[in-house]
Formats: sequence, structure tokens, C-alpha cells
Amino acid sequence: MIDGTVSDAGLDGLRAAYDAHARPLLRLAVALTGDAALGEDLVHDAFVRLHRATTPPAPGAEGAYLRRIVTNLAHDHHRHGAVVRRLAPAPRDPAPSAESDALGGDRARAVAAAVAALPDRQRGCVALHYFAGLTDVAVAAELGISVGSVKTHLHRARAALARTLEEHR
Amino acid sequence: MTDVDTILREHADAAAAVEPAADGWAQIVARLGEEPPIVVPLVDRRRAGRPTRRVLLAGAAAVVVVAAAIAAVALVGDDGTTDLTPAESTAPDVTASTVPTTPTTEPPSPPASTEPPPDTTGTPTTTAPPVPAAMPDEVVAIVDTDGDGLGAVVRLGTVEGQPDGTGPDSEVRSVLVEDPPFPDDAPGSATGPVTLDLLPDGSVVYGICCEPAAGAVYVVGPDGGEPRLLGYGEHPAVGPDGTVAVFQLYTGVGTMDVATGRFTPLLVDGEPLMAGPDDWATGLTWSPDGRQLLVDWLLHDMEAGTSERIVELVDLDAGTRQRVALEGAAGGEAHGTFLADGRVAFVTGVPQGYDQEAVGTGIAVFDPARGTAEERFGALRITGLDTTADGGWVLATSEDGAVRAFTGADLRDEGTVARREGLQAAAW
Repeated sequence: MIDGTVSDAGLDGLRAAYDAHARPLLRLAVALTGDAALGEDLVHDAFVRLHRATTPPAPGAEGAYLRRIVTNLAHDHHRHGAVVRRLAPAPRDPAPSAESDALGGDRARAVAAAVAALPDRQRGCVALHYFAGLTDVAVAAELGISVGSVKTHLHRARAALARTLEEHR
Repeated sequence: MTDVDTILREHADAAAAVEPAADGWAQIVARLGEEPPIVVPLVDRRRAGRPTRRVLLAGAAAVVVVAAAIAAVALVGDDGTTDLTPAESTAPDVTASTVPTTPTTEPPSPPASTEPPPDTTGTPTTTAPPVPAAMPDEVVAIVDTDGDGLGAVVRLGTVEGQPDGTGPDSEVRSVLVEDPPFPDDAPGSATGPVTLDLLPDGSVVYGICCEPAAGAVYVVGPDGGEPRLLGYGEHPAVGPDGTVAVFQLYTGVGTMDVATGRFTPLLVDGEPLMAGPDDWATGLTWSPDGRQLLVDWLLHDMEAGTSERIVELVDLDAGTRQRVALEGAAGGEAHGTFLADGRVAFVTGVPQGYDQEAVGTGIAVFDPARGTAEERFGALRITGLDTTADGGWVLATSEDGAVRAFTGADLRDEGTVARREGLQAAAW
């Protein structure tokens, strides 16, 4: 029993989900944010939300559910960050962390920001295809759209990213 | 030069090399022992057709805390001193608009004893509708001319209503804003224009959606020219007196001065016009008299990982908020617009998913006096509704790039009046 609210039995399923999905989710979260520490925090948050979900996903659907939460959280992080950056004074000399250096520093942040700026469906397709490693068919099933639409969204996303990431190519 | 496909794969590989923290599971378990955050819904998300609940005290307090935190960040300089000069002309103004409010706690309900029978004919229940003027001979539209997802702002000629699925492409009479219309580093430029409206002088105000910045609002003259960045916000909507309403994330709905871009939050019954902190407006529409506002909301339940689209009718004079919905209808609601008699047309059957575009399957009409709605059209694949300034016409854009006209009095279908592949939005 933890703090009188969470039973050990209730944690068994969550632990199983953690063992099965934590690593691919971390890859997804880090790729979407460009930040290792933030990515890990979002993954932890996703498991907390899974545990507290009033309508938990069907057995076998935990992975899709967790990916959706991580994607949503990363999207909200970018939206929130954009507002705060707009209202806050610019930092004098932001020093890159060791983790961001390991990810590729400026380029990792630029890629994450560029993907975050894509329209919803394009971003979702990029996240699931490139960062979660799903096939086009699996992406289509997860987003509830056709495989043709997935290909179209990926094509458009790559075209948009080519413009945005010009200096990093 | 590295292609984008390789960049994305290398980016994913670098992310995959990040090892989970050794105590990751322990951190999650520790967080499970913490009290969950209090989530207070600011809008009733569950009961379609029922009036929305007013902003609850705790929710309002949270909003104030968020707003205060953002304001504090904005006002504290690098050296820790407080700068009372707004960082930008678009910083939220703490002085609210002069919207009269009353301490009403619930939207007005119709008296039970005078409840009329359901209206199945589409006959207006309030004032007589005006006779519409001739159909406007052109629309201003956002058209993705090259299929890259970014739109240009153009004027399209209209034709007499054609049966659905027929008729040639509309003539592009002029291009007001080229595609792509902004520098690469413009706020939100990756998404291009998504909504637009017309100012009284014929200028076009248009909004760029919300990623990664909180959206940006531009103005371009009636004949085009260099777009002017007006300020930050989403979904600009022009009222009858030229007042521009916009939505700002974490601040809510407010008005934006066309000359200065200064944003002033709208207060309804003394509270910010917003939903929850994770929610945002996806469309705004003024009533013909400028006393009411329709707000399309996209509500997020972050715990469940779900989203919901609703339409809310806000009476700025009475300080009330009323849910617009068709009882029993599947899916969400979006694209609310006013008919000439004060009733509200809106799109039903909109997918509720977070990533889904707001494409609905039909049009319904809501009567605020009765608090009920009736379905009028189905299977139309509607992407937007807009009413002419005189209330005489309602146009509906559809997924296939067609613009269909309805009379603004009784929503009579007059057929397709414009068409263009890649058409994303339109206004009269």
C-alpha cells in the first residue's frame, strides 16, 4: 500500500504496462520534445494518468493510449512554452544541457519544434511513424484514417519540414 | 544536404539512445501517492442539450493563478526588477472590456407553462427575418492553391446556386495574400491562414493557427498588399461595429484593437471567457447586434486522453453561457453561426478526437429561447459556416471545396455558389 491510496495489486497491471511500453514511449517523448529530462517526465505523467484514468483502455490498447497521452502532453508543452516564451524575457545566455547535447543540441530542439509546428494530423503521422516506429498501416489504424491519408500527411509533413529545417540539412 | 527522412530517422535514433532513469518506476509510484490535481470543468462537457455550468470558483481561481503567473513572468525583468511596461503591445490588458455583466448564475430557461410545441418547420420563433439582398457576387476564401497545406487569401467570384456536385471552378478575381504569405519565422507560419473575416472597410483579417505560437492575427487591405501582423491570438471574428474578437491561450476570448493590436480580455459575469486551461476556442462568431458571441470549444480531458467539441452561446449583456447542441446526436458540434432571427445554425457530427479536423456531417438549428435544436441537413461534410453581415445568407464550406448558400432567414438550400479545389474557409 502506498500512501493509503494505491494498492500493490492495482500496480501490477501498471508495472506490466511500464515494462512493455516505457522505453518506446521515452523515445517518442524525447523525440517530440527534444529534451531527455522533459521526455522522461512526460512518460511518467502518462503512466500516472493511465493509472488514474476513469475509463481505462481496453486490454491490449494500453500502448496506443499511452502514445496518445504522451503526444498530447508534448503538444501542450510546446503550446504552453510558446506562450511563456512570448511573455517572458528572453534568457541571457541559455546553456544547453548535457542531455540536449547528447541528443544533438540545437538540431534536436529545432527538429522537435518543427514537428510541433506541423498541423495536427501531419504531426501525429510523423510522431507515430518516425518516433514510435509504427508502419503506415499501424499509424492509419491508430489515427482512424486511411493508409493513403497517412502517406499524404507524411509527404506534406516532410515538405513542410524541409522548409523549416533548411539550415539543419 | 541531408533529406528530411534521414533527419527524422537520426532524430528518432538519438532519442532511442536515451536510457530510462534507473528509478523511473519508483518515481511513478511516488507520484501515484500524491494527491491528483483538482480538475474543475468550466463547461459542462457531458450533457448535450443542457445549459452549461458557469465557471466555478475553483476553476476561476486557477485561471487567475495561471494568468497572474504569466503576468508575473512578463513583468519581471532579467535582473529581477519589475518592469511595468508591457513587453509587447499585444500583452493582455488587465482592464477588461466594458461588457455589462449581471450576477446571473444559470442561463435563462423557458417557462414551462408557455413552452411552445417543437418547431419542425424551421419557422423563426423570434423576430421576422429581413429579406436578403441579392447574393454577394464574390467570397473571400482561403485556398490551398498548390496542395502544400498552406493557403492563400483570394477573392472568388460566385455564381447562381448550382445543384451539388455540378458547376465549374470559381474564377479567382484577385489574390490578396500569396501562398506562402509570411517569412519563415513568422508566428505560426507553418500552418498558414486558417480562418478569416471581413472588416467594415473591406480589409481582411485572418488568423494563423496556434502552433507553435499561440496563433497570430494579420490584416490585409481590400486589394491585398503587405499583410500587417496585428497581434497574437486565434480565430479572429469581426463584429457588426468592426470589433475583432480573438482567442488567446490561457487568457481566453477578448477583443483586439485593429489599430494597435492591443488585446483586452472579455469578461462574462466578471470572469474570463474561457473553458479549462487545457482547452481552447476553435471558432468565434458575433451576433448581428454584437451582444452575443458563439464560441466553438475544443475541450481536452488530459487524463482520459480524449477531446470534445462543443458550441457555446455567450450573452455578453446577461453574462450567461448556454450550450448549443442537438440532443441525442452523435459526435461533437462546431462552426456556430447566427441566423437572421437570432437562432443559431451549427454543424453536428464532428469527430471528437484531439487530432481530428472539425468536419461535420450535418447542420442543425438551435433556438436559444427553447434551449432545443432540430436537425436540418445531413451528410454534407461541412467544414465551416458563416453569415453575411446583413444576416441574409449563410454559406457553408464543405470538404470538397464547394461553397453552398442558404438563406439566412430559414436556412433554405440555394445550391453551390462557388467551388475551388483546396478551399479551406470562406467569408462574405
